[in-house]
Amino acid sequence: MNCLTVRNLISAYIDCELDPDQRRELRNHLFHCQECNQEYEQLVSIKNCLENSCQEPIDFNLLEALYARIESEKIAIIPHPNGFYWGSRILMIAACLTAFFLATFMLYPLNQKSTAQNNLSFSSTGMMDQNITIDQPVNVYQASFVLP
Amino acid sequence: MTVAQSVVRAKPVSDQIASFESMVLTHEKALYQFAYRLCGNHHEAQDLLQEGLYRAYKSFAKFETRTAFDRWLYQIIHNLYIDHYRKKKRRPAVTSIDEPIQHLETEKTVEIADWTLNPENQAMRSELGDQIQRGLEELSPEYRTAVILCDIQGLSYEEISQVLNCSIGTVRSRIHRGRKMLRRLLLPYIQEKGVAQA
Repeated sequence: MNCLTVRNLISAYIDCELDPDQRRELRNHLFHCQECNQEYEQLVSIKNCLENSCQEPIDFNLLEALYARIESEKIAIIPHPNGFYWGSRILMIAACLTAFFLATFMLYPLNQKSTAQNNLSFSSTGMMDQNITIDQPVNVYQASFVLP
Repeated sequence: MTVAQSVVRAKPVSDQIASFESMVLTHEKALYQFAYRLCGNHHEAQDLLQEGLYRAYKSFAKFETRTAFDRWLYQIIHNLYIDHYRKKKRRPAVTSIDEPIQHLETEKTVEIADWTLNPENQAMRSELGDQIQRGLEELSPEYRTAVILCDIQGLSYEEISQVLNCSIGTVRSRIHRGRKMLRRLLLPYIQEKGVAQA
């Protein structure tokens, strides 16, 4: 083990997170290398310092705070922003659909069928071949065959 | 080290609430320490803990049986803190329009001390604890959480990797780098005062 590897593994060594072989190798290295040993000592002192830091006193009741939070959620009068967002979206979609149906009815009124029949009052040999009379309603594909 | 605890799902709701409350009370000190060391002040720590407990309460049904309750809460609190930290970073600094404009070079702002906590308690707070907190605040949230969970909460690398949802190698490097940064900040103080030898 060289110094670079050892220095990367020192923290894991301090926390006993190395496997036994690595531990043995690292311990041997620390025994012989002064610089690495110094780094080890410093990091141990930092760990001890953190472990021995005083516990901060709790000056509030956790469960009371939790139930206050639950209550505040129950009595919240401001609507959730997401709810408002989705509501406006649904309204927008409904308005678009209404406009679409209105436009369809205006462009294609219901009595268009009779006028279409009057307009198609010409005779065609092709039509005769297909046995389609002009009085019958024709679909798009039949009409495309008849019309130029 | 943590002890794995289990919640029996067949229990009625009142029993589940009771078991939730008892587990919270068991771990309250550790949870508060964690929140305080993350935030660096009591008000933010209380808010963070309250929100974390609320999230845990709401999703208690999802809590996996035979897993550690404290680790689950650490995970929730850590995620909340990271979200809050990122939002805070993105948010631009707001200055009040009522604030007087400092147009004179000689003008000085007067800092008013925060006396919301008892002054006696303030005085009794350990100097070492403050120094550690200042050091921890210098670290990035990822390094800070890893160091707190390892050195203050006493979790193993495997447990930390579960809380932070990352590999053990990542945890190892975060702890190592975090300690090295703390060494730069704390070592002069430690050598001067001769602490941490115990």
